[in-house]
Amino acid sequence: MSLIGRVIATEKVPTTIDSFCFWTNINLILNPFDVVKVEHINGSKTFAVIEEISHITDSASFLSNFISNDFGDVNTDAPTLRIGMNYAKANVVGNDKNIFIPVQSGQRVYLASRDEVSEALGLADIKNPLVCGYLEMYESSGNDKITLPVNVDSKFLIGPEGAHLNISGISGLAAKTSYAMFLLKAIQDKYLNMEEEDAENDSVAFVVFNVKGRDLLAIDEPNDFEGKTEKAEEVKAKYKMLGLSTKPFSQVKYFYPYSTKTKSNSYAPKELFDKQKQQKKAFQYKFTYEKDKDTIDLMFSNVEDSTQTMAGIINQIVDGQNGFDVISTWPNFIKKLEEQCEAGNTASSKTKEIGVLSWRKFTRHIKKSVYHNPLFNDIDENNGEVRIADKISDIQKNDVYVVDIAKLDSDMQAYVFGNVIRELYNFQLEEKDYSNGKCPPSKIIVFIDELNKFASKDSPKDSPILRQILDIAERGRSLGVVLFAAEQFKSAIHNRVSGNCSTFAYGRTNAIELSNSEYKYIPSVYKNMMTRLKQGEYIVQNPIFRSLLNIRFPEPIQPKRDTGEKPEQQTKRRREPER
Amino acid sequence: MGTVLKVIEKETSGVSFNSHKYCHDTTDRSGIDYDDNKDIVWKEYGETEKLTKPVNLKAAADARRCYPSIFSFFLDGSRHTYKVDDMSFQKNVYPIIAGQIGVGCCERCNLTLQPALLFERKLVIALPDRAFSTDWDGQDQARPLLEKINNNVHLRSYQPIRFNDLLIYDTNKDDKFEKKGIAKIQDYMVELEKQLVADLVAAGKLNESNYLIKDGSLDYQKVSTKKNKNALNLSSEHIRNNYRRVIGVSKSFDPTKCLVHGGGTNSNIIANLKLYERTPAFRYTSSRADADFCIWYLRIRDARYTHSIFDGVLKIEKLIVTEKERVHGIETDDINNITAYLINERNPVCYGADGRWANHLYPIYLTEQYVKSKYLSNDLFIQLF
Repeated sequence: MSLIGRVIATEKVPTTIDSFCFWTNINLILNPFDVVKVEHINGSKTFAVIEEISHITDSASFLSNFISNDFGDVNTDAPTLRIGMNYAKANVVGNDKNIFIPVQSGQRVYLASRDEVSEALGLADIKNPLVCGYLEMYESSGNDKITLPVNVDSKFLIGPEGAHLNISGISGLAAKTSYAMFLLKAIQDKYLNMEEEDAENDSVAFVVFNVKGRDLLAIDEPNDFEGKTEKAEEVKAKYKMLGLSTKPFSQVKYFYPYSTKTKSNSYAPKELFDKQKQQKKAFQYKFTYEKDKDTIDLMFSNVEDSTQTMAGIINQIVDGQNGFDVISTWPNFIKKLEEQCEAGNTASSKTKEIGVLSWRKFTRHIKKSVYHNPLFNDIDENNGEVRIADKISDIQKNDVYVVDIAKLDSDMQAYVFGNVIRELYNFQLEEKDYSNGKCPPSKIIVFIDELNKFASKDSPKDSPILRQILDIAERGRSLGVVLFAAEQFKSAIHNRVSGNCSTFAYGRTNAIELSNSEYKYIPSVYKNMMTRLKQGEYIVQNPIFRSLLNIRFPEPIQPKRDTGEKPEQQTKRRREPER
Repeated sequence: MGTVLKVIEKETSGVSFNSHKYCHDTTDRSGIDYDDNKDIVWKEYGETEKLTKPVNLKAAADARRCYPSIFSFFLDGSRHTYKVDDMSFQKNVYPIIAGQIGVGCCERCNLTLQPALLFERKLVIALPDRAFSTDWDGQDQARPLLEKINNNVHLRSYQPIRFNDLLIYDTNKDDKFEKKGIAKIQDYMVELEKQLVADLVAAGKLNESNYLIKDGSLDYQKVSTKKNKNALNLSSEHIRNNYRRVIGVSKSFDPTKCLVHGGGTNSNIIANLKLYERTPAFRYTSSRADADFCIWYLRIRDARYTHSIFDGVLKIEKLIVTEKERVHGIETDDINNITAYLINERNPVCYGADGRWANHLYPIYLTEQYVKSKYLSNDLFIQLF
């Protein structure tokens, strides 16, 4: 490969075990994350990843340049260019003979070959490979351009060695949902193609929450790329290069919040829903009082309850105290609550521990979500109505459940999400039913966007949904519940949630976010790059990789729908404070 | 005591005193070191027009900005000298002087400098003639001694270090011995410079579009051809011819030594030069080089920004090659052309990196840096002894 420079070691900037600098031709285009190879002792080769590239001249100060232009004449041209050079700082990632003493001054630095890049980044011998993107290197160096699929060890992404993925980046530009769907698609491909014997011990299913418009409501349909055949071929070629099929997701079931003619709870167009219903893959979910009263606490996820009065009321309801044991429907439940709120029902009464003001607060909150909401009603199975919890117990390997919560308000989104993950958690804890050819998965991957709504640092400490997410983050790896979460700002996420993620994907973000302490271990050049990443470009961190990797991924193979929201609705959503 | 001195002691029957070793360039910095330090008498005009006042060439320089400069080659020679020991020969003590000499030439292509021709780095040792008592001029003994030194000196590095020559200074008591040793090394460097000019000419690199700027004066000491048969003296016509497209540019000169014919100095004229003005060129006959030079001064920096009034003034020398030039002077147009292009060389500057920034031309500065970068470090060199 091309010789591009020589190592520099000076008194003030020595080469070290971890890093070294080398000079290059000023016209050679290199990029951060490019891999270089250096000759080292005993005929070994040291590999390093470029971190920073600088250009210096012999100008001692800015003043010198000012003087060199006739003391500030902007039209001055000099017949000699000031002597200058580019030098790059590179972080050592390995040596092919495990020699880690610093590389020596004057040693030759080369671009690496495809195999060498793979070896250097630790991509060559990855067990349980699962493609997570591809990297392009030496793009501007002419013929030396390298395109290399990047595989991650699936055991370090979806357990049992390491689990949970966190994707962060600003809306739109980071393409978080697209990247998550790409990864889920890669995982489904891998498990669909798995040998029968392996699949018995290791299988996977997916639960995906659609939180924005109609983003994920047609993930089993092919992308027509707006009729652009060339574009379609290009994208498909990339999928083939990555060893993935060019078909969209399979075994998909959609769960829409129940809507009536007067109140719609989903952005899904009627035609789409009818079509999916006809194909028996669309359902409308509801919550019944008798079976779902246990999850009422999830409606109070964002309510401060320092005196535990709300928790006390919930206990009474769940335990059937205080006359709640006879209630069987949501309307009766509301009536019962209203009774509790009547005047005279005060804390002074010896038999009543909870004051009427607390009951009123509780009732207000419940009514906001439940009152006249068609979601809270009895189920008509003949009409395709289901309880999500019931369907979860039926989930089979490679199934993809899409739960639509896009049009629900924040509290209801939290409730549905909490309800589902609680059921998933319980499902994984319980004995599984393998009768009648059923194949429940050993692992369930949950994807949720806007995690900051549910597991923010500002969430109340006793928030039931936060507790649930913490449970998954901390124990989900062994239970087989894997969380793929996305949010705009990783710094807003509860430390115990982000701290338990084995893999991080950083999309384009802004400088304010990067100034947070969460990013302090990331070199400043990479941080600056994060503010300039293109759509479809990510910086990925995984314990298997020897360094952060700048990867790309192809456009989604399933259609990208518009949000389905009217402009005023979008504005309203944006105004809604994130918790 | 290192290997070299041991060999010299053994082979010459001298006695080493193992005295303090030091580099002259880092310890002997007293007084101002002028590039040019001799009396220059402003005798006759050196150009065809008889100018009485300085000429401003800013407009001419600006007019040439869009053309490639005529200066394509830049030459610099330098040496570091070291007193490495005192040795007694025949009951007298003499200093042993060693030197590193570097002569480099850079070529400018597409606005950037690159080395032209092979870089010359020489390591030499100057010994007193008394060290070789059995030989008439010491040369016959010097050669085997050099060989023995080189056979013993090896640096634990990639390439062995070799001394190129042993120089012999006379022990007449007309000057300090140390100075005599240094002068020998200086002469050796000058010969290398002259050889490099000759090589450039032989390679056909110098022409009216490709001039060479030599750092410092061209007023080389004439060398006796008896002592050095290969001496490239400017007094000989065919050597002078090498210098048709060469100018010497001195950064520093002693203004008190610019004498007007009949007494007094001309330093006032130089001091009063305005920015981008040059003095009339005058002819100067050097007894040292046995050759005629055309000399003029040019201000390239505004005196407002310099420490002294003479900072920012360059002394330019051009060898008078032909008889016609000697009689009538060099064409004023040629001098103006050279000067105008020199004005355009004023940028960039090495302000902050070199105290002589006001007088430095950047390509010369780079060539100097290139030459210096090839030196062995002073510590390493001294350790050889």
